[in-house]
Amino acid sequence: MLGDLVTPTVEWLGDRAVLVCVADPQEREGLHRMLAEALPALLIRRGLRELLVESETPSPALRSDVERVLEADLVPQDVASPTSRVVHLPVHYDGTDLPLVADLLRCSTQDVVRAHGEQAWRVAMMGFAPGFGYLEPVGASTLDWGSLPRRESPRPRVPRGSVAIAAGMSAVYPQEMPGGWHLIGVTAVTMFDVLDEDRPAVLSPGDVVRFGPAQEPS
Amino acid sequence: MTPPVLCVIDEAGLATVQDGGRPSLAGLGVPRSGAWHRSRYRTAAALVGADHDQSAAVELLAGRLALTLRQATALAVVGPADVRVHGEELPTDTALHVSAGQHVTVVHGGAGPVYVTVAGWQEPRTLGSCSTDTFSGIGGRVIGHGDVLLGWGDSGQVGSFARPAAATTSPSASTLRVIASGDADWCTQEWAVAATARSGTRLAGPVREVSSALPSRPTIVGAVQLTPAGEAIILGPDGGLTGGYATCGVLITADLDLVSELAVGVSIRFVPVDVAEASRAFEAQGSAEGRLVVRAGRLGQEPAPG
Repeated sequence: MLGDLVTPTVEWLGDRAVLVCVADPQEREGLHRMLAEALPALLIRRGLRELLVESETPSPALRSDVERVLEADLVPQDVASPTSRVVHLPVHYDGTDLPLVADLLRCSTQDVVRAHGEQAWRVAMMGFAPGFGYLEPVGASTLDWGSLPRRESPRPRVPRGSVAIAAGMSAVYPQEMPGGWHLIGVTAVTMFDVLDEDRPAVLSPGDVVRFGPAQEPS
Repeated sequence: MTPPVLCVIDEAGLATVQDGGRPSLAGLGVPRSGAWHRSRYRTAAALVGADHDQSAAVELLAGRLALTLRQATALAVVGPADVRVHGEELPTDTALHVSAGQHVTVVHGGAGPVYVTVAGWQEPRTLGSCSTDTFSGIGGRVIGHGDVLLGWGDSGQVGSFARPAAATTSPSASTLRVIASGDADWCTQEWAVAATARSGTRLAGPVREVSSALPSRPTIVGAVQLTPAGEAIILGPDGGLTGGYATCGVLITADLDLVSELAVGVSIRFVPVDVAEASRAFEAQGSAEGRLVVRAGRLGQEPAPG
């Protein structure tokens, strides 16, 4: 299989960061661990299909340093993935876009709810807002999430806690903010807490998220 | 123990509390935020003997800041401003001795942010910083009439410096140096500043063919993104960490402060440079800042200027 491995491309993003473009999420996870181990002084952020490696100050050697790590051992296919943390998020599936989503995916609203709850999601990257995780499906999917586009025009205000899907991904809006994804429900979990110095965000890159219907208050 | 009142704000224009920001939380989606004009902020902090990047400053983007001291302390103003203490005109870029009861007015007048630091000011931090993230709403505060700054005044701080020559070797704000991504033909055209904000500076230019449906990617302060509407956006300290627009280049670190000096209506051009040149420009800027900090030490007995 070695012949199939291609060293990922590394391009400058300004004078103190590079983007490493990867083929797929598995490669991204493996390379992140390799780079973090070899270059501990650098800040590494994940994208969907890239890693952003950032130095505090301009660094002409940054690109070659990163390339050297990537070339040293290609991609370690056998690196055991550390056990991902699993985050459970109870959802009230009553989002305003649920019927539209069901139409677009050609199924019933119950099918959407069931498929979203059964799907394992992984935090691919954080961004857009503090605590906002872009969740990608991992493993088998019963619905083709990728066939659902973003809304044609974004809403100026999406309520805090909204659970949304679009463009093959899912997310929870940690605060009220503009948003262009389809709203299928809401969670009561506080996704970002500025007063929690140790762990302000519920989600971290690499975490696995399991959604499920919230218990109705009895 | 809550510190006593150091001064009371009588009037404030567009003013927020800032420090060095939250550079290490990008992995959780938290923007760096912090002082928009880093070198002015660091100068202002050093002049009152504060640990730069950790100490609070008022960042004044427009209008006046008027305050009344409740304790004797030292105060510094850095940036284009008219400074008066009890009616007497005093210089910027120097630590000023102020007494309890004195009125200080700072009138913004020029390009870019003005920083006001007060020796002894203690400001609570959120996630390690007192910076006001104007976009996500995290931390800090907007400064307004009736607000107070708390702390124990320290009038022993006196420092001054002549603005270092190296700080003026950067090109004027109308030319910004970039590391271009891909082809650099967008650099050659002229852009007009349409709007400025800590989250991003919008530039108007000719409409171009750019893709509108790119997947979101991680991005960085200083990135120049092209929108389908023909705008370019230079991401600022409160800007998002992911972007769905095409990034056509990133400003060099040495020119980031210049973005905060851009006024609406001015024309700018981008000049592509390589990473080696960007790095040299940064080193030159750093050695200028180093000299300044040395001269702003605690000088104790020296009388207050004026």
